[in-house]
Formats: sequence, C-alpha cells, structure tokens
Amino acid sequence: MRFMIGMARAVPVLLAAGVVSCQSFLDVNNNPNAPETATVDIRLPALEMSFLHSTYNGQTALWGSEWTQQWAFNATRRSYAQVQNYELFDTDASSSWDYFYSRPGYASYTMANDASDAPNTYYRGIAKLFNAWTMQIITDLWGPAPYTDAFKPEIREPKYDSQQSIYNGVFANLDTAYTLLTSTSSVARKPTTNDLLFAGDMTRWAKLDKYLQARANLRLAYAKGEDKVGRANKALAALTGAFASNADDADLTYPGGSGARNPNYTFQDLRTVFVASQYMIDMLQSRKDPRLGILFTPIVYDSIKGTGTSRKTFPAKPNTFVGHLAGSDVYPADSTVSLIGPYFSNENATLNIASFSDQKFTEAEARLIVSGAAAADQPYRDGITANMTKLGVPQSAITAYLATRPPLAAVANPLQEIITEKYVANFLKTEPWNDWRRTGYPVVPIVPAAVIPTIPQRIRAPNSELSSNATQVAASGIPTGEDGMTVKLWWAGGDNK
Amino acid sequence: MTRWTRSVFAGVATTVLALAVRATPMMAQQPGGATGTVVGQVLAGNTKSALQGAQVTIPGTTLRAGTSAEGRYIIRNVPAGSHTVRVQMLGFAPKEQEVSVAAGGTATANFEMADIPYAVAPVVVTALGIAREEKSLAYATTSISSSTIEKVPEPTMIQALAGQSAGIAITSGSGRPGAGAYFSIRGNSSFSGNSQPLFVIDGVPVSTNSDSPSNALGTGSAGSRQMDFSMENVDEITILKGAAATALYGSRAANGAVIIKTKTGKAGQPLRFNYNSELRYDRPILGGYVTNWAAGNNGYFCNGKNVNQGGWCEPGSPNATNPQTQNTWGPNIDSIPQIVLDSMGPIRFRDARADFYKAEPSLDNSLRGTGSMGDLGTYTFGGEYLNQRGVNPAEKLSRLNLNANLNLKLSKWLTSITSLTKVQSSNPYSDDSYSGIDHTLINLPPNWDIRQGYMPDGTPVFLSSSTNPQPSLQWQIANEYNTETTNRWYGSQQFQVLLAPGLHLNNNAGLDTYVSEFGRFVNQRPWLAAQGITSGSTQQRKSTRTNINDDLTLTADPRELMNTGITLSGLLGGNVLSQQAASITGNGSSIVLPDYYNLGNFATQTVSGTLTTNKRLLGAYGQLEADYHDWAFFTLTGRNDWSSTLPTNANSYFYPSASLAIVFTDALPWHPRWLDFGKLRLSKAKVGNDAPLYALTTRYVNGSATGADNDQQQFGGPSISFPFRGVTSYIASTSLGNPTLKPETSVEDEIGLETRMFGGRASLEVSLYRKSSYDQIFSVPSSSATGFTSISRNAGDMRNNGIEVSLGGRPIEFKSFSWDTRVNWSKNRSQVLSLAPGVTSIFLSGYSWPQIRIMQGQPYGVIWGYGWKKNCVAADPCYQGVAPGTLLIGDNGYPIKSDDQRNLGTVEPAWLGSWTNEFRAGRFSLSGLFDTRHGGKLINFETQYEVSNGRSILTEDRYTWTTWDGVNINTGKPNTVRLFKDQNYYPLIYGTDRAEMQIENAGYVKLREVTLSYRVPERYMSRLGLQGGTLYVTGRNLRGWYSSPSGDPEQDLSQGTNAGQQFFRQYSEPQTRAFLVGIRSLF
Repeated sequence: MRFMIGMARAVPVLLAAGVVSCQSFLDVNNNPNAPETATVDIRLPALEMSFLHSTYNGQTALWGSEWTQQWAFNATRRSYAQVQNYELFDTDASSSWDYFYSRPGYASYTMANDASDAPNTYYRGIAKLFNAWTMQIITDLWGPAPYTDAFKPEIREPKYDSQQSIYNGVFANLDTAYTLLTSTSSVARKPTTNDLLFAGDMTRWAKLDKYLQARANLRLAYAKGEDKVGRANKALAALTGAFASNADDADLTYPGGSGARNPNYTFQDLRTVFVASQYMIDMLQSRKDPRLGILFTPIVYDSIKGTGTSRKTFPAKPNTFVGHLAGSDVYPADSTVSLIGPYFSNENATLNIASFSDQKFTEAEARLIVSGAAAADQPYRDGITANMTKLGVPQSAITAYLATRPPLAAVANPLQEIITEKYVANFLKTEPWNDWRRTGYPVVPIVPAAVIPTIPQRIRAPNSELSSNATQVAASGIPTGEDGMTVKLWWAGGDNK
Repeated sequence: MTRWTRSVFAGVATTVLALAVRATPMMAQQPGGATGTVVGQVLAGNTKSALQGAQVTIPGTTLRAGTSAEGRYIIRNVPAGSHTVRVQMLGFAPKEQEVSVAAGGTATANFEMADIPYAVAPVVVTALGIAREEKSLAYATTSISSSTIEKVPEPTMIQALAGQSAGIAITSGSGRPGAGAYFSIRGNSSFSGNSQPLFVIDGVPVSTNSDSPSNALGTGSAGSRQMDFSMENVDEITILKGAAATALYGSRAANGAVIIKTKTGKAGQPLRFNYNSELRYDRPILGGYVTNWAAGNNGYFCNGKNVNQGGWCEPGSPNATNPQTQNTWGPNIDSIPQIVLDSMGPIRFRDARADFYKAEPSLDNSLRGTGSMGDLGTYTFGGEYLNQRGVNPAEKLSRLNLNANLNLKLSKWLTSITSLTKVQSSNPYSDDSYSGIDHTLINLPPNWDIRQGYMPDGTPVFLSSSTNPQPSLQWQIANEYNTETTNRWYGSQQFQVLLAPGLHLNNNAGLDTYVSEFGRFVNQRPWLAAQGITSGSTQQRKSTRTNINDDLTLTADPRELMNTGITLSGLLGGNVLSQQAASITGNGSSIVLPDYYNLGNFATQTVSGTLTTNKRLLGAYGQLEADYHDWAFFTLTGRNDWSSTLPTNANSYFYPSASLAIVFTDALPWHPRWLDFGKLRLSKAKVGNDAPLYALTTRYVNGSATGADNDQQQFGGPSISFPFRGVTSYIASTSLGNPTLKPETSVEDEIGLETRMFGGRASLEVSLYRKSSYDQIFSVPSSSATGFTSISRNAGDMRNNGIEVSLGGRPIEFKSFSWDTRVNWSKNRSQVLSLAPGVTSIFLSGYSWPQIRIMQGQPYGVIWGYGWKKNCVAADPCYQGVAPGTLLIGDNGYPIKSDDQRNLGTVEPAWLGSWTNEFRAGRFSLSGLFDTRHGGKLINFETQYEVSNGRSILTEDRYTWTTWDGVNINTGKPNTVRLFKDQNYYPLIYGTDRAEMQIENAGYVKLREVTLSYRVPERYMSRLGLQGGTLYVTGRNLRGWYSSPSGDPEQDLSQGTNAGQQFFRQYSEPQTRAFLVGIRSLF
C-alpha cells in the first residue's frame, strides 16, 4: 500500500509543476513573420500592383487579346493550344476569379474602410477607385457576380448580383472616389513614392477617375434597356474632367530584372510560342499602318530549305512581316514569323494602363451616338495621333496615315472604323475584347478548331465557385459549362444578367 | 446514489469478488512450516544469454517469481516435496522441470529456453519508451529487431520499413539518394494531406521535415530529413499503429508512431567491436518507352540534332528546316531507308537513360564498440560513413553518423542513460519532375546519342532548338544543381531514480537540433548572353530547427492488491515540448561572373526568410494497468494537452483510452493442445490534435502580384515581388484566420486476436479497427468573393476501417535446416463523410486538370479529370438498350471528351501485402521479401506528352487499325469506324486533357530483396583475430510485376508528406535495382 500513498503524494507535486506559469510558456502563437496590421500607406503599393500588374494586364487580358487575334499561339503545347480554340476549363477560370476578389478586391475594400478618417481621405479615394475598377473587370468577364455580399468573410456563400446592379455600384464608387480625390481638406495627406502610379499627384488620380466614368458609361450604351444617347452624354460629360493629353496617361514603369518585369515580358521570354497573328499583320499591312514595325518585329528568314550541310537560309527582305494564323496547326519555324515588338515586351518596358488615345476613341464613339459621324471624326483622328505619337511614329508618317483615312462621314460604317483604330491603339489590352463583345468589331474570324460557335462572350464559372458556392452560382442563371461562354453579357446585348 | 447505480455497483463488486474467490489458492501456504527454496537461472538456449523477466511458477500453488537481469530467480516457502517448476517467457517455448525440495533446503532448477520463430520480443517498447510485456498489450504493435534491420539493404530508415508490418504503406517515389518516402499507418486521415507518423529516437521526437523549397510538379522535392537516420545503430524499432497505442503521446502521434531504440551495451560483456562494410551497385529500372523507332515525323527520319550542330533529315521530311525534333515518329529500326544509312552510317538505338544513369559503387562502413564497466554500467560508441551514389552522377548522399550511449548506474537508486548522435550529411541533387533530367532524357529520341556533351569548339550540344535551347546533360549536371548540407545533433539524457521499492521517477530530456544549408546554383548560359538575355541564378537558404522535449514520469511497479489476484501498476507523467524553426533565404538572379555563386555576384539580390516559428506544448498524462492473474490486462490512459497553437482560453484538451487484453489460453480451463497462446484484445481511444501554427489570426503578407499567366506552369509569366522600385508593401493574406478553432479529434476502436500454435511453430495475429476523425482543422476552400480563398475551420468527418492479418511460422525445422515464413496483409477502406458546409471537394495535389482531390462520399484521394462521354453517365446522352457506361463514339470514330471533369477512380489500394521467407541451412541463410500493393489507381501525367512525342510504350502498336468499342453518340448504334493508329491518332486519344487515358493501375508485386548470408566458421575468423563474421550478398528490387504499361507504378512524386503526390507520376528519377556485398564482423 505504501507505493500507492507515495504515488498519491506525488500527484499534487506533479500537477503543480505542470500548471506553474503554463500560460506564459504557451504564449508563443503570435506569428513574428507576418504583421497583424499594416497602415494604409504601407498597403497602397501592393494594392496598386495587384490590380495594375495582374488584374488589368493579367491572364484574362492575355486571353482577350488572343481571342481578338492580336497575337497567336504558335505551338501544340498544353493549355494555350486549347485557349486559342476558346476552350477553358473551370479550373482555368478559378485563378483569375480568386485573384481579383481576394487580392485587389479585398485589399481595396478594406483600405476604403480603414482609411475612413480625414487624414486618409486620398487613400480612401484611391481605394474606392480600385474597388470600382476591380468590380467592373469582374463583371465584364463573368457578368453576374457577388457584390453586395462580397468581401464579408462571415457570408460563406455570397449571392450573385446582376451586371446592372454591379455597374450601379461601380458608378457610385467612382463618384465617391472623385469627391475624395479632389478633396481640399488641409489634414488629408497625399501619398508619395508609395503611389507607384502617380507619385501622389491627386489631380491625375481625379482625371483617371473621370476617364473610368466615361468609359464605363459608354460600355453600357448598347445594354438591354439602357438609353444609348443618355449613356453617351454621360460619357461626354465625364470626359471634360479626364485626360487632356498623352502627358496625363497612366503609365507604370518597370525596372526589369527578377520580380520586377513588365507583365508582357512573357511575350519576349516565350517568343517562339507567343507570336504575331496573321490577322493583325494583314490588317496593318492593308491599311499601311506605320505602327506595324513597332507592334511587331520583322522576320529574319523568308524560308529555310534543306538540311545538314545542304541547309540554306533565305534572308528576308527588310521589313517583312509574317504572322501566324490563329488556331492553325501549321507552325512556322522560329525566325520566319514576326514576334511582339520590344516596345511592349521588354522586361523594363513601360506599361500603359489608361491612355489619352483610348479616351479619344471613347469620345469619338460617344459623339457618333449623340451627334453623328462628322462630330466623331476629330476625336477619332486625335486618338490615332495620340497613339502614334506615344509609340514614336514620326509626325510626317502620322500625317500621311491620317490622309489615307477617309472622313468618318464618308465611310459606310463609322463605328467599325472607330473600333478598328481603337483595336490597334489598345494593343495587348483587354479593351479590344470588350469592344468586340459590345460592337462586333473588328470582324475577327473564328479559329478553325473552335469548340464553341463564337468567340467567347464571357468566362465560364470558376471551379472554386462551383465547389464552394454552387447554390449561388446556379441561382445566377448562367450555364456553368463551356456553353456559358457563348451567352452574351448584359452590356453586350444579352438579357439582364 | 440511485438504486440503479447501486445495483450496478453491487453487481460489479460481486463479480470482482467472485473472480477473486475463484482465484484464491486452494492450498494455503504454511508460513514457517516444512518449506524449502527453489533457485535457478534462465538462459536463452541459442545465445546463452540471461533472460530477464521470465515467469517461473510452481503449478498448483500461487508461488511464482520473475527472473532478474542475470536471469536468476528465487522462490521461497516451497512446501517440501516434489514439484514441477515451469518457466514461461514470450518468444520462447515453455519449459518444465521436476525438483525435489527438502524442508529448509534449496533445490536448483536451471533452464535453457528454446526460441520460437517470429515471436515478438517478450518485452515491447511502447509509447514514451515504456517497456511493457507483450502479453499485456491490448493493441497492435510491430517490433522489428536489429537482426531483421541489418538484413535490409537500405541506408535510410523509412524505406527499410517497407513490407515489415501489416497496415503500413511506404512509397518511395524516386530512386534518388536522400529522397524521402511517403509513409502512412492505417490509411490517410488528414485533410491537409500529411499523414506522416511521429518518429521518436531514444525518447526524443525527431524532425523528418523537408526544409528546402519544394515544388513537386515543377522542380521536384528536396530530400527529407529522414535521410539523417542511420540504420546501423538501431537496436529495435517499434511501430505503434492505433490510437490506443499512441494515446500517451497524444496529438503528435495522431498518425501513429515509430519508436526507435538505439544500441546499448550489455551488462557483463567485455569491450567488443563490430565492423560492417558494404559495397553497393545501383542500376536504374527502366522501361515504358519505345526504343526501336527513330526521330522524325510521318515516318521520315531525322537525326534529331540541332540544325547548327549537324542536324539532318531524310529528304521529304516535314522537319527539313528543323531536324531537331523530339518526336519519335520516324522509321522503325528494321526499316531505315537506304538513303539514311548512306548518309548517317549505322544508327545506334538506345534508351538515353541507359547511357546516362550509371552509378559509381556506394560504400557504407561502420565501426561500433560495445562494452561494460562492471557494476558501473555499460557503453557503446560507433560511427558510420555512408557514401551513396545516385544513378545520376551528380547526385549522392554522404553522411557521417557518430553516436555514443552511456548507461551509468551511479548508485543503487540513481541511473543515468545518455545517448548522443551527431550527423553530418551532404546531399547534392538535380531537379526532378517537370524540369528534371529524367524529363529531358525521356524526350530524347532513341537514335540520339547523349554521350557527346560538347562540340569541338566547347559549346554544349543542344538538345532543343528554341531561342533558349536546352544544353547537353553533361553541361546541365555541371552547371545546374542543388546542394543540401546538414549538421545535426540529437540525443537524450535520462535519469532514473528509485524513490522507494517499486517506485521510480524518471526524467528524459531530449534535444534534436540542426542547421541545414540549401543552395541552388544555376550557371550563366553564355549562348544566351549573345542574345542579350541574362541568365544564371541562385537560391541559398539556411534553416535551423530545434526540438526540445522533456518527459517526467513517476512509475509504480506491479503490486498485488491484497491477495485478490489483481496486480496494479501505473504511471503519472508530464511533458514539455518546444519546437522552433527559422530560415533565411538569399536569392540572386543574373549572374555577373560565371561559375561564381557568391550572392554578391548577382545583378539582382533579394533576401527573405522565416524569422522564427515557435510551437509549445504541455502535457500531463497517466496510465493505470490492472492485471488479473496474468491473464486479463486492463489499461486506462488519459492525457491532457495544452497547446500554444490553440486559442488561449480553449487550449486544453483531454483524451482517454481504455483497453483490455485477455489471454484466453490462460484464462480458460481448457484449450486445444495445439494452441499455445491466445489473446483477445479490445481497445477504444480518443486522440486530440492541436491547430497548425499561427492559424488563429489573419495576417498581412509581403506584397506580390502574379504574372500574366501564373497558373500555367510552363509559362510562368513574370511576377512582381516587393520591394518593388525600392518600395516595400504588405497585403492581406488570402487565408482567413479563425480565433475560435478547437482541437481536432479522432476516435479509434480496435479489436484483435493473437495466437501461437503448434509449439510456437505458427502464429496468427488479426486486428480490426475503425477510426473516425472529425472536427479536422484545415484550410477550407471558400468562395473567394468573401475576400479569402480559404478559411481555417474545424470541419470534415472521415472514417477509416481496416483489417490487418499477420500469419507466420516455421513450417520446416530440422537440426540443420529450417524455413521461416510470414505473410502480412492489410486492407484499409476510407470514406470522406463530409467536408464543410457548401464544400464538396478539396484539392490535394496536381494541376488544374487533372488533379487528386478529397471528395465527399468517396475514399480518400480521387483522381479528378476529363474522361470520355459514356452512355447515361452524368449529363451525357442516354440510349435505352445500351449498357450504361458504354463509350459514346463520335462520327469520326473517336471517343469524345466529357464536358466536365469527373471522378476517374480512387488512388486507395484494395490491399497491401508482404511475404517474407528465410531458409537456414547450416551456416547459410537465404531470405527474401515480396511486397505488394494491389489495386488503386495512379495518374501518369507523362503520357500526355510522351504519347504525342511517340516515345511512350503506348505507341508501340502504331500503324495498326482499331475500332473503338462503343456506340455512336448520335445514333446509339455500335461504332464501326476504323481508325488508323498513326502520329495523329495517339494525341487525340491520350493527349493533353484526356485524363481518363492517363489512369493506370497502381498495383505491383515486387521482389524487394533477396539476401544470401554465410556465417564464417569461428576457426577461420579467429586466425584473423576476429570472433565472428558474416558475409552476405543482397539484391534489392530484383523483379517487379505490374500491369501499368509505363513501368514501375511506385515511381511518382511522393517524396515527402502530401498523400496526393504519391499517385501523381511525372518524370521522377527511376527506382534502382541494387546489388550489395558486405561483411559483418565481430572482434
């Protein structure tokens, strides 16, 4: 029995030893590697880059510019061999969706909330602007999407809002942002070098806001149930406060090098697979467009014949451009096909986010709607000039090119003419695909092996939503499969979704 | 007390009393009467070494004794007269002897016990290193002794355990030295994908993590710290499988535990040395690829060389402008056109891997001294140097292990046991998986000769013709490699204090600490510099990890409870655990001076790292064992943990276990004569587990922006990282923390039967278990519209049911010949009952498609990808009168890809088995092990590329006609369209997204090893000054049988801890077949 007593005596000793300063010993769960809070000025650069680098110039922009045949994929390899035929998998759609909501979407939403005090007025304005822009990008890609329920982690299955209601929210946020960005509060502090886009120049942010308002209004001009002229007038009204010249352009600079490369560097790094499209080269050549040699590189060889010691290369004449036919399964050899020009694809190339040129085409289209083709002619020519100037085309060549373009009033389809020029000016951006979906211009051929009967009208439902929010996806009413990609968006003339 | 509880209580009391009465000796002792004493010594018959813990009884009386460390026993108060003395010890056949005891006299009865084949050790190491009688255990364990371990030709521990126990699954995906293996016990149950058991060496939990960057699909995994453990100094390994077995370890051993005891000295033994030396040759196991077709397209020959380096194609070839094709769609070896032979001369056909993968011999030498210091204690010290060469000449594992163990009896009441190991390992290796050398080699057509690495002008031979051409393998292995060197210490200091007779206080303090340095070095590619492209990069990383563990236990030896026949023993303990890790990484890109990898020599440099991670745990536990007349054993355990990773106000959790073992051969008055021993065991246990580190709060992370095309692996576009343009920034993590997490729980029921029959010649062990895991903590994927892609939650419920059978024996035994055999068989069925509300599946590993997922209602691990449209499946068309599941064929005769991804089968094997045999004839011994995985599927992602290339063996039947079995999708009538299998056919069937065609049977039967050993006669050895020696030759992975067309199904991406990578195959280094010769000597 003695041992039992011994044990019993030891119990309290052991327990006491175990309990003493237990809690302080265990208090090591405070992650030293990641901060729990960060001030909005520290968060601003990451918000800007997550939007500008990845959302606005990311994967979906690449898809859009491929589908509108600004470039072509020159290999049989996985993924892009399918994407060029309009085939996306639900999992392909996930990465962008997840990124837009969880990075720029959530970062801008929380920054707008956290910057509610007067000194942070400008930060709040920028955050509101980015939240509006992110939501516009999301709805332009998918149509209905969570908005009123979005960015609230406690709502695990957020419901979908229609494109129309998302746009209402976008306009409201852009308005609020404008008021904040133009605030004259004496306590409001401006960002400095942490503003990677405008270095704290709030007047440029305000202009960008107006530019976005104009563009968003015009985008709804052909939406079902919308007043076309009304929207065009709203766009024109907003334009008065927007960019005044190329100097107002939103341009992002990249130093190059690892972790600091222009997103279009993909085109240079993988130059044998991402090449010029035959469609666009033909278009530029038929119009004798002086931008051809800036957008694309000339080929080195006309052809290569023979093999081994009898191999002969036939150097091409200077300034010969050859594109790859999008979707074709004949793959021209390296050096016999044109590539994307270094102006766009260098690792340290400046990335244009929003341009005076694009704004002028917006104005041209709005004026066409409101006042007719003659009124659209000058902004249309200004748009071409602005883009060519930016790309460094000599003034003489610009003048010569403009002379070849007939007055808009004299062409059968001025809208087609405006959008075609806009298509060239917005090279490698997501806008040409938006314009194609709205207007059907330029008339881009369907690839031979297309898996759906149209160039995609939207991105299909992402896998992450189908496996975590399936009920709400179903309630949105858009087919979740590949066939969902054939359904027009509301602003593209589809029904109210 | 209610009447009901009172009556239950009374019933229990009556039963206990009745049992006690039954067991009360009929023949009362007569203290002080005519009695004498019986003494003796019990030795093992074969080794003549003392047996401790043998039970000596005098049947018909309650007199009994246990033997001491010297094997001696003494039984007093034996009534005068003639008696039978019986000795029992597990692992040995019982023995009896007649003695005659005179009043006041002392009779002697010495025993030499004969061992029983395959019997487990009488004493088994259990959780916390507690040695318990095997007989009393009520749960399944497997003990593997040093004599078994030394026969296994594996330098690293985990691989060596393959096939050694029922219910464990070990997959070593790659043949690379130092590569880790995936190890699970009783199936997978964690939704995080990690089911690795706890490894404990001499009471110290040791880390088996992988510290270096791991990108299984891209560059492959770094080695696992499993590689540090030497098999040489292992005395015994015990595998604790179920929750009841590991209950005292608690959460850390939620996936089972592997308890390793290192060698110690033997009392009374003079200093002796063991010297072992082993020479090993590894050869790759190849197959799965065509070797008799030449490079080219549409049947036209190309030599595959770069156009500027002698590239040539047969006239008419579509590749005329670019003869460097990786397609193997040229002519057959037997039908090379004359024009090719005239131009090229004779053509050598070869699997390029056979030229490249050649290992230098590996060497493993060890020396160990063992001895005793008389009464003061024992010691052992030793070292091993392993130099293991990979079949890739750039890869090896060199490892120095030094260890010492000192067992000091400081006084009658104080013992100190010190164990210390130092490991220094170096593991250079090449990339694996998609960017690995194996991928390069497989893509090379059979007429490509890799032996030429450089052109006469010194530039490398190019293997591809893009603007960034791939240089020769010779260039690659010299200029692009990874290294990892680790300096590690682990050890323990144990003090055992005898507080009072039968009461011990034991403190075991353990430490495992290491510094590991990883380097990835990519040299400049000078031919790119000419194009203005920068190249060359490095990553250099230093990681440290320190685990400190202390267990304080108070143990009470068995004591009989007042002549009731009930013997009680127990322990109380406390545990303190601290785990700390840190790392710092320097990245450089664009090398300035070639060949010089100082971080300062790179144009761009960034530094990142993990400042530190800290986890602490406190535990208090207790165990109570009740033994009733040595035939019924009841054990209760309880443990309470307080973990730092849980919310402060809810960081405590308790989990109990109860188990009962009944030796029915002792309990029942009668049992068949052939049944020597039978035990029935029952147990139920709950195990709690804490949260992952830092899962409670949402944090900000360093800002970044993904590239244009980040999710498409091979086109990883440029990503942005901060600091960018000199600015640092943070952004909210996409994973939401959860301050309300509670501990995970799993509950396991186990029932088992153990028997030994026919004089110990046969044994059978069966275990059935059911494990339910619920409230699992994992990153539950969430709709990203919440702002987060995942949320830490307690969710999910899954079940594992299984059966384990182990049957062994010695069917043949003659004086100089015997045959021992054992079969282990196990089957585990898992079912995911639920994930989280609204969540039906989660990603485990793979690509966007295909991938391996965990899906509700399915076994753990489902292959998810595009399949074929089939009659009446999902939304596919449905024709009456056509069997559901019949393939739907298009008008062109091809099957049609399904609209959406589907479940293409489970990776869970139907069963696992192994069969070991050992034949002994005189001084010769021949042993062998067959290892089997039956059923289950894997996804062979290589085929999608290699079928298009014409390299896969699946294209061997090219240029034949086929008609797909199925019905036309438009008419429902049987398909009659014939298809010609040419270069265009295969990619349409196997290509890219046709995951259904990438599914292969993961089952195999392997002859893992065969060893022939010879014990050299002592008279020869003594001439060399040796006391004994054994020579042996071993073959490993000699033969494999499987139905997977593409080769060894064990070759996959599993090198570490993700269950899904086990069944995802993509260009890993081949497994090897090894031949070894060695000597074990004693002097």
